[in-house]
Amino acid sequence: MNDTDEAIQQGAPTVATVGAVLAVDIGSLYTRAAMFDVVGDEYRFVARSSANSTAEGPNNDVTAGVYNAVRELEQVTGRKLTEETRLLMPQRTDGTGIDLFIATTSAAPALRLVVAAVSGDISGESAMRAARSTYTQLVSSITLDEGLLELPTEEEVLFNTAATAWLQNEGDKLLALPPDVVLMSGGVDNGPVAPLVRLATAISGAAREQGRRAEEAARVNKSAPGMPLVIFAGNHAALERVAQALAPVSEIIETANVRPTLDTEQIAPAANALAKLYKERRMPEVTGYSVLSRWVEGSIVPTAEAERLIARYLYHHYGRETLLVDVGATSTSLMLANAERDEAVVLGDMGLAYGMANLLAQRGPANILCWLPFEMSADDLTDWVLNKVVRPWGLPQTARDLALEHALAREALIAGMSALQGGVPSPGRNGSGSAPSMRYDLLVGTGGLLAHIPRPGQAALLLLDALQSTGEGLGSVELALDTTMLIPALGNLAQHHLAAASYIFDRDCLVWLGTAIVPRGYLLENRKAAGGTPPTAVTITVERKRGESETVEIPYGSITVIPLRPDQRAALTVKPAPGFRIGNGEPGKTVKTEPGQEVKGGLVGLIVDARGRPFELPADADVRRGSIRRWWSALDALPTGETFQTGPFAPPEPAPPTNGAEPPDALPTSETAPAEAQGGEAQAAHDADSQGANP
Amino acid sequence: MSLYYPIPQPTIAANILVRRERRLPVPGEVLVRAGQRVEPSDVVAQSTLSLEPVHINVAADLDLSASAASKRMLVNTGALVERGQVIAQRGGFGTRVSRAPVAGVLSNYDPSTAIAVITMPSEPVSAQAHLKGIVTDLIPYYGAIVETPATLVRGVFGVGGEQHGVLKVITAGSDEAITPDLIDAKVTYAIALGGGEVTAEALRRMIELGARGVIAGSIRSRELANFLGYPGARQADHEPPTGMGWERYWRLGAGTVGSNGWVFPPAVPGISSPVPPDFVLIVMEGFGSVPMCPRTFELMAAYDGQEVAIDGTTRLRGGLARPEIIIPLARTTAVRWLEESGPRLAVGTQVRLLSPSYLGQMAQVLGLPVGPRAAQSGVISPVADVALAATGQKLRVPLVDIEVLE
Repeated sequence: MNDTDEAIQQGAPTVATVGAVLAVDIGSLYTRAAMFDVVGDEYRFVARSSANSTAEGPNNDVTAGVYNAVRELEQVTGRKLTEETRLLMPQRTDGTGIDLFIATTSAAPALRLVVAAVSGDISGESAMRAARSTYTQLVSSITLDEGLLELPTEEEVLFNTAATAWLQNEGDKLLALPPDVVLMSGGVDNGPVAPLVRLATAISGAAREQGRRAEEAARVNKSAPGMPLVIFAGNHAALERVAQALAPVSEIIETANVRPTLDTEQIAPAANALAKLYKERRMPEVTGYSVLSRWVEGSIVPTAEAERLIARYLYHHYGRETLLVDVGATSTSLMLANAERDEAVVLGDMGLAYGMANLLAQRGPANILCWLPFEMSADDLTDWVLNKVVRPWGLPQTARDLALEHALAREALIAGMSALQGGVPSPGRNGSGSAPSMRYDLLVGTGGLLAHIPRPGQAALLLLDALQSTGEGLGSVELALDTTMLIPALGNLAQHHLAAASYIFDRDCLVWLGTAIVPRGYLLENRKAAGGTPPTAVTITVERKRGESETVEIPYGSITVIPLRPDQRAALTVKPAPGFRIGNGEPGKTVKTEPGQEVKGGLVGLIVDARGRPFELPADADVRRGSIRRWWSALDALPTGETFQTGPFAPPEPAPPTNGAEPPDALPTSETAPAEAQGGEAQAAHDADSQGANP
Repeated sequence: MSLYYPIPQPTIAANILVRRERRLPVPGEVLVRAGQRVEPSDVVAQSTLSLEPVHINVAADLDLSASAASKRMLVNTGALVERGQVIAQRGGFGTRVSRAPVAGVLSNYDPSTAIAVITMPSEPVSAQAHLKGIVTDLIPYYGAIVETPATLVRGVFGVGGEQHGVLKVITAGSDEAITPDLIDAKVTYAIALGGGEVTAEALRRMIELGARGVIAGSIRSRELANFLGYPGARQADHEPPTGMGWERYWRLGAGTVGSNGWVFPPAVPGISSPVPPDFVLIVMEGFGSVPMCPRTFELMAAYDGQEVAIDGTTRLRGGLARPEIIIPLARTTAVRWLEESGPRLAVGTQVRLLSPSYLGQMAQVLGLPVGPRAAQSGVISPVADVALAATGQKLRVPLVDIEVLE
């Protein structure tokens, strides 16, 4: 734990002694600059700007993008920050220049990683969790129990062909997608050594071949990944023999065993070793990195590390159990900080521009298509995704393009959530798997897609659909967006001036979407619409002012917004129907807010998500699209009259459903909230009155 | 968001001076001199590529002493070995083998150390000019720089590397698809130009007839996957019930080829591509069934019958590379430097739309509103108001979704 972590945990104030701060975040597509300064007698966010990242040709130097973003910041603020091509430092008495320049980046390519474990479901899973804590791309995994799936016959044992075939097979698997790093795990401390030696033999053969291929490529001026290095996070008694078996791999990093005993897990040492490798090996590969690292105070910080610090801050400083999610162009990150876990999942190759092909490849078109309110073929989706991959900087032109991006973002978050839950199947998809406890009561979204989302309701629904929040702890979840994309900058600033960072975070960072109440539980298919109308899942009495209350019954399968402005709070009495529960309460038990703990409103309002947990999308395509349209309309996420028909890919008009379901556009009144309560265009997200409340 | 243009290089750059380096991967002999005129098929430099012999520690592989390992050698010195062939084996309980990591000749075996040496045959390598032009500079021992006045057109992605040939227009317009019935003997040794989408069947027919390359408006992803031999991509293939079919092969960033695997389209590990290495496909607009932008098609079609140089190399990150078509012009053509021909966005300019819904359509800029505004989708960004050339429909488009045409 570093000094900043300790300071965050103790809530210790830090005396800020600097004036203007310039913080840049260099992504794979965009470079964002933010400026903070003393306004009156307090630190505040002044302005932000954005320019295209220039890591690739023709510039081949990220500093060009930083310079463009800073020049734009000069135009926005009217303040001189540069002199010729240099930053004006320190700040002068007339206000020009800056005192501190800091940077975060997610532009470096992810570490290509192979997890090699003795057992896929014990040491392999722990290693996988360590691997996903920083920007890595898991290219493949090898486990010994995979090799034992087919037991060799007696004859095979005699000539040992099964074992050699396994070694050859695993070696080929490693060579097909050559890794930078092999993370080896397995065995409890002082357990058997032989399985790890066998694993090391497989890695050694492949590593030698990979090294040879790299040498061959270098001779003809081509590049190929050289011999991988090995992080050994297994039984330490085996280290000496493993190191011998691993020859010719010379770089072996030894960290604590990820599974010292069968029922304990320690992933932090292996995760730290990977984070260090990413910083030392991958980040310097960003073109212009060396120049930029001379400009900045301290070191350049990976964006996910800065974001994780903010999640920790929210938990330790405010006691808010927090899930922070970032859907970026190349990667997707989720940071969870609660009483039991402080964990990050970074899917280094899944995002909404460069990472979109991987997202499609790993999640499959069927999963993505089921989030669309219109019909589309898997082939058309693949064409659409690949067009975005070859032109990654494009923005959605039509509502149809936007819906597709949002569907892909949902799947990226589902993949992240699945990894955070430890690799169990995604919740809600055809009833597979049950989600392990993932407690949080504050959900914060950041990243380009969420920050620039046109309607607040679209963001709220996207987060609820993908993450299936339950409000497991308090019974409700507050939803917020980092529309100014200050989180990476503030996480980084916290390492230099914690007091300034926390002051700005509390006042200028988050925009509140509202509070979600989620009745937990679900109805079996045959009980869903007995008698034609779905049964009530929850009854909520809202008291905005003392003595003025309103009671709303919310039917199962729907999502409803009860108007509650950002500046309003309301006392609630929530009565779940039998079989449903609120938070950790008993099924059917009424829950009331305590005085002083009234729920917060937001740009969307008070959201009651009565779709069930885990919720399943209807299997029938027409019924599903109808439900999606109703949910979108309920949260004002669907522009009035939108048919998604624009452009040459326009689908035929959907046939009216014949199975008794409501037509797609018929909106039950209970789900339609007054327009004024539901925010509007994204500019509203910047209204001063929507900000300024701390978490 | 900035008004800075994402790719400050135009799709079409007419009458510019193109300089291309032709370089050997290893030192060799340069066969041209400065000032010399070269034809596309001329060899600029040549050498031989002798690969380092591979050393195998048989004793370590078998986990035996050198003398014990020597007794278990299965292949004699001087014999040809295949990649993966077992050259020594220790039998019985705890069997281990030593395999040849490459194909070649087992040229030496030292019984005192149990080190086997495999030598691979040397291969000739050469650098072709690929371009009709003049040698302006020599790179001693490696190659030369060839220069020519030319019109340069950039595509969005391609398959294959560098190639040259005579341009043959095979479709009547920018929106006509390239179908197998349009392909006849005239494409042999030529670079075929078609306006609409191209199918895998048409591409295979071109290869059969000996075409060197194709420039097409678009291709459906399934057709490209089918052409590249991705398993399960043929229309007749049964879709797996999970929906995880051929789409999984589009995985990027993990591949074996340099630049961290960002070469596009990705090669599938373990599957050899059925596409001949010297065949080049360049796609101008993207995936789906999208006609080529009429301006681009007409410009290229005007050079029907002329020698052109094409390069299909596409890399999305780690050294951005886009496919290009170089149409050499007469030496007397007045040219300018590429930097001066950067796009200028102004009211009245002709632009090409890039968002999937309007991909490849031409439009005219009607206005450039100040500051970020909401586009049709509601996303707020710097925008341009344009009118579609085909229908006159007025749209508000994010600036990043348009490309200025000269």
